[in-house]
Amino acid sequence: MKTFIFLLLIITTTLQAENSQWEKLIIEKILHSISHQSALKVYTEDTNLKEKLSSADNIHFTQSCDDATFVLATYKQKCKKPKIVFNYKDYLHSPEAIAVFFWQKGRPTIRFSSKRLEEFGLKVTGELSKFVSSK
Amino acid sequence: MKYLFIILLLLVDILSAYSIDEMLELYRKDSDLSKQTKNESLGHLTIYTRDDIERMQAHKLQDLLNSLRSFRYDENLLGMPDTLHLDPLLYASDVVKVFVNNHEITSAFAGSGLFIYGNMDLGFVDHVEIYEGSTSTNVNSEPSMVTIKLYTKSPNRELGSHLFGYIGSRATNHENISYAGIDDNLEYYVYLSRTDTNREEYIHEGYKLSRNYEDLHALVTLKYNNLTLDTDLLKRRMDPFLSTSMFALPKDGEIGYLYGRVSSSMTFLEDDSLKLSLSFMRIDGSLDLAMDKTRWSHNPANLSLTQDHLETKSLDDIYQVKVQKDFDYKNNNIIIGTEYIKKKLHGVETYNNDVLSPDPEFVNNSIASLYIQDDYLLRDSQLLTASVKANHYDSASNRDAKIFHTLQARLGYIYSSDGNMIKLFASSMQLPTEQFLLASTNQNEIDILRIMDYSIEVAKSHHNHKIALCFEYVQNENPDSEENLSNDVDRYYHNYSGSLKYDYKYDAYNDMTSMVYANKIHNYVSNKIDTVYGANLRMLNSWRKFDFYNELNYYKRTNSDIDGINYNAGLRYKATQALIFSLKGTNIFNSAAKSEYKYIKMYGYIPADKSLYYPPVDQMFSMGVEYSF
Repeated sequence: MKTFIFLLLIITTTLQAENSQWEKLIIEKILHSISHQSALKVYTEDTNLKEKLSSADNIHFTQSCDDATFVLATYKQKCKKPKIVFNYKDYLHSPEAIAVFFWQKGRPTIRFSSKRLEEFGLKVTGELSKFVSSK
Repeated sequence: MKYLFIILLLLVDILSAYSIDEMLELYRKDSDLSKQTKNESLGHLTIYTRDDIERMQAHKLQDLLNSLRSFRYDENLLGMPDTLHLDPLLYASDVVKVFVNNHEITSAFAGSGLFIYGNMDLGFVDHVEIYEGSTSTNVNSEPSMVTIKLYTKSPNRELGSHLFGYIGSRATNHENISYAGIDDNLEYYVYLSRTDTNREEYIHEGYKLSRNYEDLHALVTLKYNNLTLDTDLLKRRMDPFLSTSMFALPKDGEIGYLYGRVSSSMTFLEDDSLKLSLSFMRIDGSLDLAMDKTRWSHNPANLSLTQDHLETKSLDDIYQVKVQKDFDYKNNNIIIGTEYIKKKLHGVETYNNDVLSPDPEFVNNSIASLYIQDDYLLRDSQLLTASVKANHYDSASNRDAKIFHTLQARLGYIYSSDGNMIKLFASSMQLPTEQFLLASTNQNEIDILRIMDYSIEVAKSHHNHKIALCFEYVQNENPDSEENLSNDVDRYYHNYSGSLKYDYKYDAYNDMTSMVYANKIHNYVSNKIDTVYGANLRMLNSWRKFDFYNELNYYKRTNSDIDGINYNAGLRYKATQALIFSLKGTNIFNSAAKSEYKYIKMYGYIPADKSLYYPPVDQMFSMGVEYSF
């Protein structure tokens, strides 16, 4: 296992941490743009994502989906809470997906569904409102 | 602890000050896919990320091959990419291996796919990794000294459509369109392009030397669960440049080929540790070369010819199967694999001066290989890698039919900690003579030549600075030594290469890379020691919606008139996220180092060796536009 970790170290880059840093900050920004609560209750089953967001301000991970305000979903999760997803396919097929952080035309981007936001009584505020779409 | 907390708070504050557009852009730069594919243990690595390729406006792979230590972009007498060009050999870059998505591109005739991809457009490529020196035995089918890995754009990052086109000097133009989509478990990327490259033309003794070419290219990549499938189709037509004319008097002609490839890879088991790769490629080629006097020939009687005409058609097929399993055992990561390659040159129909050749060239080589690699972790920051590969050849051509074995072995040590890196590699390889060399030298026997390669790289990163020193020694066996050993002919050639690199990254948007290097190379054709001196400087800068690119490449080779500076510059204007305009100048002062092309000139009945000098990089100005929707 140690070998594998070292191989990963030389195969991937030392800048991976910075990469996660931007990802973490963007997810934080997405969550804070749809909620005015100072402390956000978030549920996810993705341990990598949990680790990336572990140092995030005002984000607390819940043990169950029922206790959470939002769900960060990297795969199908049966949970009727507003979801932020990371894959356009999940965004299209999951009725609870209010936002997607994904890659399009070689660039990362964000999209919010106005219809689904409305269903959950949510609204995007601030500079991220330009990413709200009827799709 | 208190200070650490304050620093963390400040950092969070600074980072939060970025706008969402800036954050997305910085995330894009930091998420380059090369971080998932690069492997420092494979050799001395140079990476061109997606961001580098875009900001450099690298339209073709050749644009990325001018700032490396051990070679530069060069072309052979037919105008084909041949970085180790050794006139008048038809092709000399068989040890330069090209991969697309980890599938090796090769050919029965040339032993490398560089002549196809070296000047192909790069619109479908996400990033490029170039490993100088020998590489791990689990990568290449046969020994290599340079490994160029192209990775195509990933469908799940490209969703949507993209258009790009440029127009340049001499009405050179290129257009491409791509589309990527996802549908349940299927991801796909489709790319179509057309390129019309009009090169600088030269006149030699009243004969036009042209290397214009046209490409039609289609590429499709599919991903379905653990299966990936790539298909490539390229139709190329090119002018024959100097043709194979011994007197550099090409009259007329055309080279054309249709290249097709289907490659797939699958992973099995829960941890994806079992991999299967399959590949088939075909080059349906044709050559029609008319010249005054004769082609390059060993037959003195041909010197009396007034005209020569060579017309040939062939099918060059490659079949590849590779199975590989990774294991972890204590401090070891073990790779065991087997590979089978069939290289077949067939369907050859050759007309020499309109007379059908009774003895067409054919090649039918099967190579079965078995390899094992162990990466052993000495300590947390030190790795020892050892690999060995045995190849069984069953080789047949109209010149020779033979069964023989070759062996490749490699030892490496890598230390990586706190911005310091040390790499040491030692390789011993056996390389059989490729078909192009048999044809070029009229040789009948396949020789198995030994190559020894020793290299060291020491790199130190400190804040935004990185400095690296690299040294390589390559020992080649002289192919003529067996026959001439009694005549005091050197059995081995000695080649040395050294470089010093300095990179400075001011911030995510502004960086500079630089290198000075010197190589001592034993020129096999002239049997002289050529010394190459070079220096490279590249700056990539961004300001608001503008990207700036500046690059200087100095190259000088002794024993020839090859000496020059290539200066490239580019400007991109990102009007919106979806619309980008670009301007680029290549070899702006038309002062790039030239290549040497040998020919014979007759003074009465006395032949004399002469050389022509033409740059492999043309002066070119282009402007382009790209649009995503």
